[in-house]
Order: sequence, then C-alpha cells, then structure tokens
Amino acid sequence: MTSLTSAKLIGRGLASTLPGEILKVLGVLILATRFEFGSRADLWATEPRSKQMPVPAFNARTGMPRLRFDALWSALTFSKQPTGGPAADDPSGERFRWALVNDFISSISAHREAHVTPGDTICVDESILKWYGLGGHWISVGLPMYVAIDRKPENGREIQNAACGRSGIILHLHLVTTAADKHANLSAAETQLFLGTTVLQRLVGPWAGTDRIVRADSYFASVEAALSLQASGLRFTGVVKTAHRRFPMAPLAARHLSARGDWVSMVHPSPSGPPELIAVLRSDRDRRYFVASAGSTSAGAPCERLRWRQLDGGAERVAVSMTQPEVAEIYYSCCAQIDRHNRCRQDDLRLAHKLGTHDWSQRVNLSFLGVCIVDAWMLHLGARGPAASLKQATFYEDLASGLIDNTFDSTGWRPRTAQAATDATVAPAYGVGVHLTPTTKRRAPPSAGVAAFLAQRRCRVFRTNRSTLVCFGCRDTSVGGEIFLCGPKTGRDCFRFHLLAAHDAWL
Amino acid sequence: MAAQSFWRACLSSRRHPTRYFVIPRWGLVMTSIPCVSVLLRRLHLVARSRRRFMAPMRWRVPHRRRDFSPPGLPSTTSGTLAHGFEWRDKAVPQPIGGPVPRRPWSVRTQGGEIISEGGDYVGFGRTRAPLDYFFAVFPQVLLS
Repeated sequence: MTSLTSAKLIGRGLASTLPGEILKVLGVLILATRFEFGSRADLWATEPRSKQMPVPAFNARTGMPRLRFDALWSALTFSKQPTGGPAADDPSGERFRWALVNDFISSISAHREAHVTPGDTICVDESILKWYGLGGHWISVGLPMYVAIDRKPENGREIQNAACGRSGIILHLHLVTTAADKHANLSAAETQLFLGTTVLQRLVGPWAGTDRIVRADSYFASVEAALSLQASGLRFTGVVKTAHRRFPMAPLAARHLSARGDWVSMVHPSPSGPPELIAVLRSDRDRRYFVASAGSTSAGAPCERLRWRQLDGGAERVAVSMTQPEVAEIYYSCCAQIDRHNRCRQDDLRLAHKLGTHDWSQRVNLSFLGVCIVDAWMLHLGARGPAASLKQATFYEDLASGLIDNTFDSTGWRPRTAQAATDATVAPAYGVGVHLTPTTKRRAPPSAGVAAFLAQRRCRVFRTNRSTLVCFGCRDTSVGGEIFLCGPKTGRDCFRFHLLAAHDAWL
Repeated sequence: MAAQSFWRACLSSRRHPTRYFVIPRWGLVMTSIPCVSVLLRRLHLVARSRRRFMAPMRWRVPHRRRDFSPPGLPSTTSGTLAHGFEWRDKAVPQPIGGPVPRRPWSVRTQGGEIISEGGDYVGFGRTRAPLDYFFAVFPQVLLS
C-alpha cells in the first residue's frame, strides 16, 4: 500500500509517504465520518459556518494539511494492478479491473485465516457495498459487476462472506463476479454442484475438519451443501427455499401444523443406520424449511420477544414466547451476525456515505477498510464483554485519534531476550518499547484557539538544534519531564547516545 | 379521432367498466367491451382448467387438500424418496453426530498476544486501546 501510493505520488512530483502517514490518513477518514459536512474541503475550514457550531479545522486537529490529504486521498492504492492492460484471455478486462481490489480482499482473508480462531459456529451471508456510479458487464469502465436488487438497502457490489458466529468478526470474503467469470473459475467437479455450495465450500474451507457448525441462508442452503460440508468435516444448518433438490419439500408442505411454533421433521438415515440429515418444517409467520446435519428436533430454548398488543386496558408490551426445535435455535442464535456487521458499517460508521468518490475501486476499498474497522469494534465488544464502557461512536473517535497520533514509523528498541537472540524469525515490533515519539506539548497559541505546531526544545545530547521528538521512556514528569532528542532523519546519533546513557540499551 | 373518442368513452364508461384478464402467452389483457370480456373470461377459465396458469406458491393452501399423502413422490415401505434420496418420518431426540461443545473464539495479534472473549485486561490495571484492536484485525502486511 505504501509503495504503491508512494509511486503514484512521486509520479505526480509529490513527496513519497510512509506507513505512519497512511495510517494517519485512515484516522482522518474515520474522524471525517464524525462530522457533518457538505464538501470535504469544509473540514479544513477555520471559520465556523455558524457561531453555534464548532469549527472542524482539520489542519490544527490532525496536523495534516488539506493539500497533502487531497494528494494522499487521490493516490491511495490498496492493490496492485498488472501493467500492460488486460490479458489476452480476458477480452472484457474484468479480471484486470478486479485487480484494483483483489489484493486487499485476499490479504484480509489470509490474515483472518492465520490469526482468527472462530467459535463453534460460522455464519455465511451476503453483503452489499454501496455504489451508484458507472458499472456493469456491458461497459468497460466502472464496477465490473453492478448489482441492483429491490429488497437490498443499497445498489452496488455484492460480496459473500463468512463470519464467526459468536464474535461477529469477518473470517473470509468472496467477490461476486459476472456469470462468465464465475464459470471460468469453476473446476470440473464444481460445475456439478449448486453455485451456492461451491461458494460455501470456498468460504469455510480454511476451517474444514474442525466439526464447527456452519449456518447459511437460502442462497447457500441445500441438501447438497449439508452433505458436502459433512464430507469436509463441518456441520450445517440452513433454511431451504429454492435449492430443494433431494429435500422432502412436498411431503413436508402437505403436513398440517395447527399453531405457530409447531414443527414436524423427517430424517435421512445414513447407510449404517443413524440419521445423517434432518429436514424440519416449522410454522412461524410463514413456513420455514430447515436442513441440518447438527442439532436435534427436540424442543430447544423458546424464542421470547416483547411485542405491543392491544388489550382491554389499552396497548401494552407483552412477552411473546414461541417454541422452536433445537435446529432452529442453533440457526437463529447466530444467523444475524453478518447483518449486524453490515448495519454497523453502513449506518453507524458510514464511511461510504460520508466520503464521496467517483472511483469505484476507491469506494470498494474504503468499504473493506470499513469492514476492518467494524471488526475492531466487534473484537473490542467481545473482549470487553458486557462491561464495555465505550459506545460504538466513541470507539471510532478514539480509534481515529490513535491512528492520527500513531508512532508506527518510529521503531522501538528494547533489550533482546535470550530466546529472541537465538530466534531469527522474530518479527520487528513497531511503536513499543523505548522509542522516539512526538511531544504532546504545543506552542503557545498566538491568539485564542488551538496551537497548530508542536513545541520545540534543544536536543539534550547535541544541545544546538531544536527537535519536537522526545524519548518515550523518559516522559515521566517525576524524572524530569520530557527529554527532547534529535530524530533519525537528521543523521545524528543523539538517540543512540541517550539509549546507552539513560536506558543501558543499544541499537 | 373517432376511434380515440370511442376508446375514451369505453374506458370511462361506468356501464361497461374495464376488465383485466391474464391469458397464457398473451399476458395481461384489458377490455371494456362486454362481448370481448366474455370471450376472454372463457379463455382465462379454460387456461386455468388446463393448469397452464400456475398460482404463486404463497396462494396455494396445502393443508386444505383432502388427501394428505405426498403428491407425485414414490413411497417406500419405510419412507419417501425425493430425487432418489430417502427420507423417513421420524423425530431426532438426540443431536445427530453428538453435541457440539461451546468453543471460545480468539484473535492472535501481530506480537503474538491472544485476545479472547473477556480478555481485554493486559495487566497492571491497563486495558487495550481501540488502536490495539484495529492492529489485531488489520492486515499489516498491506502497509509495507
């Protein structure tokens, strides 16, 4: 990301960038979603539109000038597109265009596969990334696959994703591409399966053989999906609607269910005797057909909701309880995780709504950034538990603040442990240990308001030049306050001398 | 002009209101001429009787059927076949394949720490900051 963005900046005759500055831009983007504004330039205004409204003054708040932000925003690149145009076997240029977002998606999926251990359930569903610009398979510019479905809240790009059923963290992302591209990427064995089953196998493939329960909606659910997941060591629960091949839809539909909450079931026995699959019809507001290779048809915990009812004395909230089988209980316990994630991204974070762009790849990449930010919120919520003190909006504000004031570019030094000294594969740690960090002090403001510049003091070692950087380990006021030192860009070794003298450490 | 006036008179007539019919292969047909509407009504009924017109699934009321046996599916001695796949009427009191134990989720950070359910506390009275959670889920390899 840094190298690609820097290359674009240098091509335009601008200064290159560093990872810390990229993170700062991401922080500014999140901070921008907390403000109401017409055009993006309003965020750098120093005079308020109304005397009752606070002035955004992003230059002073974030330390990033508007011109630099605009340059970075227009050059921000998440994925590498091959040079030389589309390949010979890609006449429509679809794969060439998808390359603008593919690296980001694949790195998110690879990161989750390596670092996230999901709970006992995995939820699979679809999401829409908002886009109302150019697009479609019939035109060679814009979003290659434009989706407009009436029942979806937005038009744009569709993705299919898997999430942890307990924490709600996204585990795997899959692009919905055009039919021609889909068929070109199917193997001979996959062409015999439903498309939903193929996508399902790809989404939950990294967790095969772990005996987790996969919950999927009617796009994916079928007898075939349940059997294929069973073969790969996963269990399945889903609602069948259209993909009812080998599912006893007609016998179940003929059954009479007297009241809401009633259910009937059928089983498919395995060759050895015990049941392999369950088909359940449950009467709710409408009839729901479940296929499952996990759970039982015995009564599970009843579903309880508070609903308004008109009683003799007036309208009152009444607790409505509905019986359900264990299969439905498993399904409904985690089926809304991805919908919840989508609502957090679209309605609470609002990254795509607030920051307009005419570049489809910028919008899609921004939406994936939103996925990561909401994942961080979900992780915080799960780790903190019911005692979480931060609200979602406060979390995003704190995250923006942390990203804007990040110290990612300053490498930390600490004494190496015996194990680390022998282990050559230990990755470098950034922003930890004793390192140089910008001072928290600011210059005295010329008039009432916030000072735009950091305070400067003479370097404690060199004693001639001034610096805004201080030693992270010597910031305690009881030990003498902040110690200003020359930064590494000056070419002097002031920090190295200070480390040896004050912390008995060396580079 | 005369034809237009005639059609306007037909459409606005209260005596002969406009009627709509769904005819297979023709689609939606509207008329206000009484004799044509009688003909179209016949066509509509004939089409329905020949089962060319299929009502949407939600219009059908299965439990009003007199015969409750599954239609169109061969029955075996012990169950029903759906596309050659055998199903039996049976309840499953125990979870098939055994119960699935509850598993805790966790996320491993770049530095090797584990963030798990209720694992916000990092010692010495400190908790993780929002930035720590962001770095735990953001692929940092992308920043290089």
